[in-house]
Amino acid sequence: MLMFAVSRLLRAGLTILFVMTFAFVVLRLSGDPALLIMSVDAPPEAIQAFRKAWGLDRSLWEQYFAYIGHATTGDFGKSMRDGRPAIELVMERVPATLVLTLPALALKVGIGIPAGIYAALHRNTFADRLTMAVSVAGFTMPSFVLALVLVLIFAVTLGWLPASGADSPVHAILPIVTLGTAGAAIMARFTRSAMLEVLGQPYIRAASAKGVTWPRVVARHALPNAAIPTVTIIGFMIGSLVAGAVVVETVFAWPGVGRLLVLAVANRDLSVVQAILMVIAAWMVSANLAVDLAYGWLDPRVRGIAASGH
Amino acid sequence: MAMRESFPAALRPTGFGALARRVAGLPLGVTVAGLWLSAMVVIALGADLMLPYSVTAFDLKARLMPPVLFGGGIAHPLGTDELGRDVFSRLLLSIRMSLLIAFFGTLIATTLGTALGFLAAHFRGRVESVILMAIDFQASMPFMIIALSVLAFFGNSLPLFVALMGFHSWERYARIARGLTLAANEQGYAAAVRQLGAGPGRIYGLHILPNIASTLIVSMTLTFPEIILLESGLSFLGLGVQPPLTSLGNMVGYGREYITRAPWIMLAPAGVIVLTTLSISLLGDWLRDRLDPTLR
Repeated sequence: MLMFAVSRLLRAGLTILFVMTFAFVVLRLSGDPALLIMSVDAPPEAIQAFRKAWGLDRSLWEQYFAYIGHATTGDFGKSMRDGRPAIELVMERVPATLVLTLPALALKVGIGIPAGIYAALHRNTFADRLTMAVSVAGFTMPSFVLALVLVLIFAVTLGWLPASGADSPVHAILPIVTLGTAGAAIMARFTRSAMLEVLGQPYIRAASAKGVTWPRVVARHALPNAAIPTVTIIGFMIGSLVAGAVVVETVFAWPGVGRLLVLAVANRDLSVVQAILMVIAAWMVSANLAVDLAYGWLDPRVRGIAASGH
Repeated sequence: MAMRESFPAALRPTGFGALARRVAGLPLGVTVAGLWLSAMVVIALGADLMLPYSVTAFDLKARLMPPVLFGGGIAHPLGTDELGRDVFSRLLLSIRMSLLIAFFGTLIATTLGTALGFLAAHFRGRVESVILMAIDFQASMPFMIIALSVLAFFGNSLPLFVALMGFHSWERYARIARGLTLAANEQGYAAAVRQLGAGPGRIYGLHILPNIASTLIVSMTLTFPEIILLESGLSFLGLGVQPPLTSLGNMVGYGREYITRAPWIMLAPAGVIVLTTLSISLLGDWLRDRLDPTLR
């Protein structure tokens, strides 16, 4: 298990390094960072000072290592817009995003998993078809369309809920429902197919044949085995807790990381974009790491494979 | 397939009769999806010939007219926007733009991914590890975020944007191509052609590619709607297709400002997005059942 954990940790570190390198390469490819980050009409002395401060007058390799050094300490420079350190701006937005995405995750898991299990156990009934139809709609409907349809119904026509803003807890309802509905559809579909896969296995028939009652077969034999692929999807959803609300936050004018990213991209505020990129990468990688470790804990076979190096 | 076998060769019906019979054998959902997509393709190819109005022609006397069944006139079947421009005409051009971007994006992703998968399977060793690492990286970051940061760094232009869409899900094809090529190399036919002295280009292009094509095509039915959703999402945020060009996501983003007074500006393109992605998914599911046993 230790070997397994160490190898996963190394991979996680490597991915972060890859993201940093990606940001560095893309930044260098896009032209002179000094001219990009400073405005075009900045005085030449200021541009020179910026080049010196960021080491742009040194060789590419030195620049690369300096960049990695800055990035690992969370120093991405200051936001072009309000002059505050970019990483600070990003970190103070994270809680607002989590206020939306955590309840949405609870909705996804709380509705999606039971619905998927129910559909799998009652295959080809009306309930199963209904679940699948809703889930296909959830797959194919873009979040901004769902968001706007909900706004049209609940804010414009019925007037029950506010259309956008973040002044009160009521403002969070529509964005949470938007995020949760689409995710629950995906969750239901994956849970259903994982359950169907497991229910078709010989050991389920064997358990039934030796006289185990059906509820017990489901609870003791089917559910634990179907949990493994489901954990992957949940891990993926945890990974996107910070990054997964870009569109929805923008539609509802919710002051989270996603909206900051859209504004930063529109204004080409590069330090902020880089800081967000790194925060999201670090979060995703940690989530993936947690899922890998959970796998190792849930499924002893995974440990063995990783430790023997295959 | 069963249909074809049920007729003796000499009596096999030809022309429209056969086509009609074959269509009648399809599930209803697939038929409807196919019809909808055919209509979309016709629009994409011939939008210029079909435009009832010029997209820029405005008619200030007919501002914010509702669609035809909601109190509007037949002159503007989907209503007009706040300058009296015809929503239907704009919709046709948007459909063309969104489909073209998704088409070229899918093409780039497939070509790039398959080529990299072949390279990894052919050279193994260090080349393979580098490609596998790139696959891991691509799979570990949400592509929306990568796309947004590239747009921030490079600015936006249509060719760059299309190329960017082509980087969406290339890793899926790289994985499939590598896996299936490794498997094919252990089967007799690839080894036999190699023994006969065929070069790599011939082996991969003429022998392995046709054998893995069905799996790749089924994956394309996943990538195509994903790119439509990604493109429309970015365009909706104002970071994708830039005015004066217009795409479906663009139209929704723009119609959003009139959601209280003229929801049809937004609902028409939103409906097209949902129906198109839904149709491709239905068709893709059906194709997967017919063509590809490995993805089931």
